[in-house]
Amino acid sequence: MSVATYAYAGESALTADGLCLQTSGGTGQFPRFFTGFMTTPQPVAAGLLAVAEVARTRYFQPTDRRSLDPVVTGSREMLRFESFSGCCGVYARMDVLPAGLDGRTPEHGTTNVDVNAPLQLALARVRGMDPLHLSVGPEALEVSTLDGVMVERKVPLPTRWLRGFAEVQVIAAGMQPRARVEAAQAATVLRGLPNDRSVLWVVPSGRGLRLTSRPVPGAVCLPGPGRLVALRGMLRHAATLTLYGPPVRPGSGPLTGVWVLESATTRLTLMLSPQANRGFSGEGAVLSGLTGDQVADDADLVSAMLAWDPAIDIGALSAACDLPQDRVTNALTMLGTAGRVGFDLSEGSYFHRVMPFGTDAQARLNPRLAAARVLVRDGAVSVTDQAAEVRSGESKYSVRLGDGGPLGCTCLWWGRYRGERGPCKHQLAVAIAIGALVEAA
Amino acid sequence: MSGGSGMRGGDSGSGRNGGNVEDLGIALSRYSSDDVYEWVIRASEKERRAAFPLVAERVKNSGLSSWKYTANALVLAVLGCAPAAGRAATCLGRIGGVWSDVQLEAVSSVVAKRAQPWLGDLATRLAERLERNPWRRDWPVVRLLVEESGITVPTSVGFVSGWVQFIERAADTDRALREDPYTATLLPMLFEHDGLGWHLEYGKFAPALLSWAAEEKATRDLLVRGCLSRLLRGGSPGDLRAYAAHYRQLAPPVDEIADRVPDFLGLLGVRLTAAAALGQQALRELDEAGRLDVETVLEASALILQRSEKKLAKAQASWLKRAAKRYPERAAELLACLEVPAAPPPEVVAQVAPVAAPMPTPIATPQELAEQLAALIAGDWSIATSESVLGGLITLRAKDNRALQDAIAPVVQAHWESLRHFAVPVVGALTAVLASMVTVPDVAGLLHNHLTLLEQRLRLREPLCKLSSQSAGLGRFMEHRLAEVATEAGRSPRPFLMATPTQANGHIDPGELVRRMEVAEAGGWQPWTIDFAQAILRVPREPANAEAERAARLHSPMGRRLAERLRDGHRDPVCTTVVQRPNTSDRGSGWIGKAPVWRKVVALEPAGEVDGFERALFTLVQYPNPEMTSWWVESWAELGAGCLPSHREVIAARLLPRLAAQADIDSGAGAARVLPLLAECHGPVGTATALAITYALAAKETADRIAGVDALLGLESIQPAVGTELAEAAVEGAIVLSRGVAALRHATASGAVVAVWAVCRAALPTLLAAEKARPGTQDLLELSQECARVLGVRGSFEELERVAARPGSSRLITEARKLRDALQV
Repeated sequence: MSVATYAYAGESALTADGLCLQTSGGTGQFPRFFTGFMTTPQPVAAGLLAVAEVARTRYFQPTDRRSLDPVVTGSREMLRFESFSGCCGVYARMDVLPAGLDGRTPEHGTTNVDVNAPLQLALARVRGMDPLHLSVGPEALEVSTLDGVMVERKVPLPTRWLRGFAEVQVIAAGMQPRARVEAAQAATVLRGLPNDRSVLWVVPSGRGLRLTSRPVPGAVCLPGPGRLVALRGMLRHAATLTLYGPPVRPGSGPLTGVWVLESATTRLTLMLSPQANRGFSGEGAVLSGLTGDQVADDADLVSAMLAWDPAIDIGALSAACDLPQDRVTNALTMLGTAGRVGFDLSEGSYFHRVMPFGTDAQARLNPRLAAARVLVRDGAVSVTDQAAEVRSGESKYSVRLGDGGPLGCTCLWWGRYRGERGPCKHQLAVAIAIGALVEAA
Repeated sequence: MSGGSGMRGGDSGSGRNGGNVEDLGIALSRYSSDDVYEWVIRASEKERRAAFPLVAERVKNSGLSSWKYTANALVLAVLGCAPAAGRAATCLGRIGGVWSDVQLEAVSSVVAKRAQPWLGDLATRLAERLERNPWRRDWPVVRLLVEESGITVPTSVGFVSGWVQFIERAADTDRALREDPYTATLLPMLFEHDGLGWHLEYGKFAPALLSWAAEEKATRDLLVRGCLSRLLRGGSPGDLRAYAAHYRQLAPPVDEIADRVPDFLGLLGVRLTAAAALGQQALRELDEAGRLDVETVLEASALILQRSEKKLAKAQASWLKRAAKRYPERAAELLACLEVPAAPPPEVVAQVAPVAAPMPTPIATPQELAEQLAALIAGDWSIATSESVLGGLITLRAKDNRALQDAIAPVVQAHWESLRHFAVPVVGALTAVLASMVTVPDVAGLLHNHLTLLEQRLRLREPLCKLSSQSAGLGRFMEHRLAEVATEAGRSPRPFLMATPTQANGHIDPGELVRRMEVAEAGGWQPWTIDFAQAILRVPREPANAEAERAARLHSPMGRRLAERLRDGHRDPVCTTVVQRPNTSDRGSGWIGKAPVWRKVVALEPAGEVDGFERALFTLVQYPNPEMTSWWVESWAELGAGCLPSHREVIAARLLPRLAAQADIDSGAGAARVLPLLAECHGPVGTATALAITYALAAKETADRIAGVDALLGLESIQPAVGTELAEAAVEGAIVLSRGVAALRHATASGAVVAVWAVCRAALPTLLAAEKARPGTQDLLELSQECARVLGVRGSFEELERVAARPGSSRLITEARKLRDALQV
């Protein structure tokens, strides 16, 4: 397991001079992403608190492990604060929209941000409507007058956490908006939710939302409603709630669901894994996206062309790389699997974001993929024209082929999830064996 | 075992007199801490380090035997021999048991003697790892190491927790708390970490804090600030409640909280009700002491009235009324806060009747079948999967038995463990089906034993016998079908099954059924008995005249029976309502819990002459005492419903005991999930369906209540009956009415106003006529009033008038008057 080292020039604080957030790592030692004013300090404070709450919570099997700090991505016009729960099952992002910022962004990139306990307390006390000064990252002058690093922490960085963070972006890219309601309706629904781990579904009904017990077409899954608590603080400031989810078929198992609270200046996104005990790391959406040599090459090309834009313009990239748009999209999916882009559901577009953690590709390797490689290495795969057989331990599984790749398997894992969590290791092994799979750089 | 390893350790050791590793081994074998201590003190540093592998091995092997009296020797040995902080920490972490016998003086001299530079590192690592649970008592050792090494005081959650427990254990807790050198650093941390709230609820620590706070303002300030910060920062409700309670006990005077107004305002937005209530009360105290301006009162009101808690709203109303008297010039503005409607009136949304999904395309290839079979074995006993697999097994077997066997034999082999350890008869029957179709080396014998056993049971008609006595055992019919496949597939093969449904709820399209029968007659064969019985039970209730005419031309015995069913339709069993009350001796003695005070269920009896299978399915005996079993497997409920897609009242009747148990004794969960299927099924609905939905609406788990709402909205005709049953069960004290009201309120908010009004209108007469109003009646009245206004319904009723005319201003009477007014406008 690798370790995340946080070294901040000081502690983030909210003082009479405004909110000063300290940064660490990424594009520099203490990168400076913003200096100016928040036009609406209250929703920003509520959003930051929500992101910090998710970062320090384990919604499944709570233990005492240290949590990881949120990361902030500065781009030309906006700031995105992201965090991921310790259980790898809840992802939170608060975007401060261009209307919420009045100032300049000297640098672009992604860095860790310190949201310490006293700061959380100060944020909970933010009142009033006047613009408040905000700086993300210390001024160069401040740093030079200080004696270097003031606050240093080392936190174990589980690889499943990293994988989950990447997985979230790929899953989000396959979602559509399913319902949009006004804040009043959102409040009614959120208030009535049970604080437990049951799997419910939400469908639009008139101006509001209705909970239902069954996966009906058009529904958004609500797995573990107790995990939505971080939205409560933001509810007061939000104007609308939008729900996103993948397409639902009748009889479907639990799915990922996304809840977005939006105000004029901020957007708070909460994404829940299909079950409270299922981290995003095991969802395997990333594994479905691994296809073909060409995509890997395209991904390299596209990656070189990415600018620090609030949204990645697929048209422009397509022109710049001289690639058709669908190939650019596939390349972006692949970059998502490597944690190098994020996906913004509200805008339906990718944004550039390189996680400020140094980990090698080996550490990020999906265990299922690793197991598949072992199967291939051991010569467990034998392929005929219609089907393939994989010998795993004492048992033999047959993998159905079609459309140039594996379509199904006779193992219990595949039987249980049937594609809802990506391919099983046997199908991956077959895909590697027949050359249908190449991994991201 | 440990003796042997000791010998090996001795051989590889230095062998000199002073620090003979063998001696240490013997000392450790005897768990003699004195000898270990002597050894460590006498040995040279080189010898100590050389002995560490032995110590590490002993610690590893001490395992379960490490009880109370072994910790001391092991701890001394590790501290006396470890070469570095990391290994020492790992090794100490492995020493189980209670550390209360560890002699601190000995530890102190050992570490002093060795004077290792890594001692501080070790202390830090141990402090990080300390747990919050009190049983291990290793904190004093860590504290000693912290002091010996001179590092700054650790503030990890475990260290703080250990410190609190150390203070509690002191003879004079009050004095220990005030005089301990760590208090200044660690006391504030009690409010920083998550999961330490329990120290403020139990034990001697909190009383000591309170008595200190009562005497000293600085301490009081620290605690007040700590509690408020903790509450503002949020966390788990259980943890936070302790801080809220502690704050109340601190009861700081008004003077000391005047500058904390922003904190209290912040608390009004906190999720925990107790925290918001605390903020509200503090602000009100400040206001009544004249320390708050009107603007702040208005801001606080706006924040409180946004919340859903009635208690807080009520308190706010009384505060605002008092405040209005105190600030007459702002009275209008203050009182206006109260008039803000809590939520916009619900809108009316038409409910769409659910439609059954079609079955997936029939399985065409052995590979596909193998995959679906794996899914079935993995636990997907939905109608779609189980019927596809069963149908596929028969059709593919008829086409190419060899190919089928080649495809499924590896699946059976690979998942044999799942098949073999079945806990439910249906899985056992599936195993038998597979046994009859494939030969799997290694497991063949077992499979065939199984098949023989099943054949025996089939002859005895055991699965069917159990149907009439066990209420939720509809899945047993599937077991029976599987048993038939297992015994007949080899003996008298058929090209396909008659009973494979065309809809995912179990229905078979009549045209398709007639076609199958025509094929059978043309081929000169008759379907298997149980397969046929199931097939005709799956005929929908919609008129199918064209198909009936076509069927009239069928001439075989079963063909004629099919024609008859299509012409005359299904025959329904006679339903009898049974009210159950527990034996006085039973109540409270059952292992599942208390028996319900009252329960209404439905017994079934076939009407007229029916065949053996329908007789078994339509017979359900109900005894005067409530059924107390809670064995429940959710997926078999759907399978059971799929047996009788045109008899929803029968499905409901068989589910009732489980559903009732979820509401009246809070036992079990998930049984209501199958109820929404009833809306897709056919057949008359009656008391059993109404009761099933009633119990679901009052179930303990929200997910079950939501399934109840789904069923209620899908079955329009049942809505008034649900109201009647809900009221009766509530008046009898069998269910918690407010759960039902919460479910109905959610339905209203999503636009199902018509349905909810139908339920309310039917429920209110009984509820209002009750001698003593059940809790929740007021809320139901309020909800009824909202619905009535939106729908514009007219016409009051006698029971309502009577309550509304009563003198007084209790909530029941006020709400009744509001509803009466709404109905009279």
